Amino acid sequence: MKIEFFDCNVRLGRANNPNDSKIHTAVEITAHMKYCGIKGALIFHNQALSDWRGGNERLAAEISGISNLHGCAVVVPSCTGEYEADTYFKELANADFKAIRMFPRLNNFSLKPYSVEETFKGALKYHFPVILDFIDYNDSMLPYSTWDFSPDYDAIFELAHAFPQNRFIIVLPGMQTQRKQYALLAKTDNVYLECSSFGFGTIEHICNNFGSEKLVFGTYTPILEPGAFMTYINYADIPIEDKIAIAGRNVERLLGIAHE
Amino acid sequence: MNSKILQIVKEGRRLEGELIIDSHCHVGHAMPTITHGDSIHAIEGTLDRIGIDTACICTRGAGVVGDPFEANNITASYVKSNPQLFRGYVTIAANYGNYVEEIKRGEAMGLDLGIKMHVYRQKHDLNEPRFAEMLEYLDSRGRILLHHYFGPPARLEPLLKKYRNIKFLEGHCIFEYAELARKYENMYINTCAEIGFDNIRRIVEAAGAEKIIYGSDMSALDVTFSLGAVAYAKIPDDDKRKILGLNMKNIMES
Repeated sequence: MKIEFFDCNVRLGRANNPNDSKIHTAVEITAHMKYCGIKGALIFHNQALSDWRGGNERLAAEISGISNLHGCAVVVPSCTGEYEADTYFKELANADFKAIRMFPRLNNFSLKPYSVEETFKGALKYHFPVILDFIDYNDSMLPYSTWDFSPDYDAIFELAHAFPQNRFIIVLPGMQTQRKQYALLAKTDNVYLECSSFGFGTIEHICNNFGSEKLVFGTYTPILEPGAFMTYINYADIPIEDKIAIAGRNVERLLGIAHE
Repeated sequence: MNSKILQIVKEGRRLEGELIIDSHCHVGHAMPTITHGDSIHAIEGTLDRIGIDTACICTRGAGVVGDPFEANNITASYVKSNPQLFRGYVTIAANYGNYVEEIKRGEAMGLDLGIKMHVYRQKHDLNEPRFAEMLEYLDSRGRILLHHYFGPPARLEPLLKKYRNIKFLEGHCIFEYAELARKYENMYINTCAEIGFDNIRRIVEAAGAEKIIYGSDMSALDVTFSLGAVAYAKIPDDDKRKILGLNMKNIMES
């Protein structure tokens, strides 16, 4: 049995800080994926952080024809009237986007149902998992501080229960947030953690207590080095079946991508 | 670039035949986290599964929380249980005095690598007179001074000049020290927690492969993250071998 990696967390495009985008074109990114041995990726565009609609359009154009890069659209809550969720998500589905990604801190919005209900209904209708990213690009300690990130687990818990049919993927779950992670995983069925910035023994504990299906592989390339996270899975003290699931199968299933 | 080390790591195999010394590890518990599988036996099993020959350990909490003296006792218990695998640093909490006394107490318990500090968290600076006796003691014995962050390079440089026998090991791959590492024989940079894209290759380019030392921050972080960053770096295997073990071996033996 062979471990095949599918990365749910890759970013395309130039960053404001060039150190955060040492590679930034689709060609460069796919070349590095090949070097590492990553067969496919879900990718969003950095431009979408300031101009979500324009960034999503640019992403679709730049990955067009690249079969192992799958589009992830950045969106904000539709409740403000910035767009009509059903119409826009239908466009995304037609353009073969596989997921939506939201930045509640960067884009400064609430994750309470009054804010995101319409958006999540649209995501559900078009089978888009919701990736939640709590990164703060203003943090001068990036990329080191990715270890210490603490997503808003209380908000995630409320979301998971308010929208039980939606599926939520949390990227950069944090090295020191196990008490929050484990409590959340014990009480939810629709939350998945990126297997990246974890502490010692966390992957084994989650597999043994909550199941490997709760974990997905993601790297935040090109801010972070994907090899670090691949090595974590390769050497984890868990069965090979769990490694295969975490490395790729789980996220392929969530995205509706047929395993080849 | 063909790399035997990368191939082994990609396959998750034991790094048989390679010298791997993890220069920056912690043992014991820490306040904000749960660390599963961090018993001596479990850590031994983890290191053996990966093929890490030596783990250089200090306390978790590292002079930030808890009783720093009791923490050194815990570190010493690991060294005592398996001195072939574990080597120890004394953690020095700058808030207390009598640093040399605590170093000697640690050495008597087998913590003979040198010291680990987080001086900046205790709102002190290594240039203060209160540390002079401690630095002279470390210098006289050629010990390692592992430090999470030494502060601005301009504050560190006088110490590098004055205490030529101390091996100053910066704890977290901070690029601003690269010039000092080029300039001073006794300045080294750790790979610990460095998972920034392509940063291992860049720090090797900036400081030289001879000055880069592998460290993982286990058991705060998993032991594999920094290992993976080195293994996947686009540098020759000879440089990876220096970083993963040979450089630290030279430091420990000199």
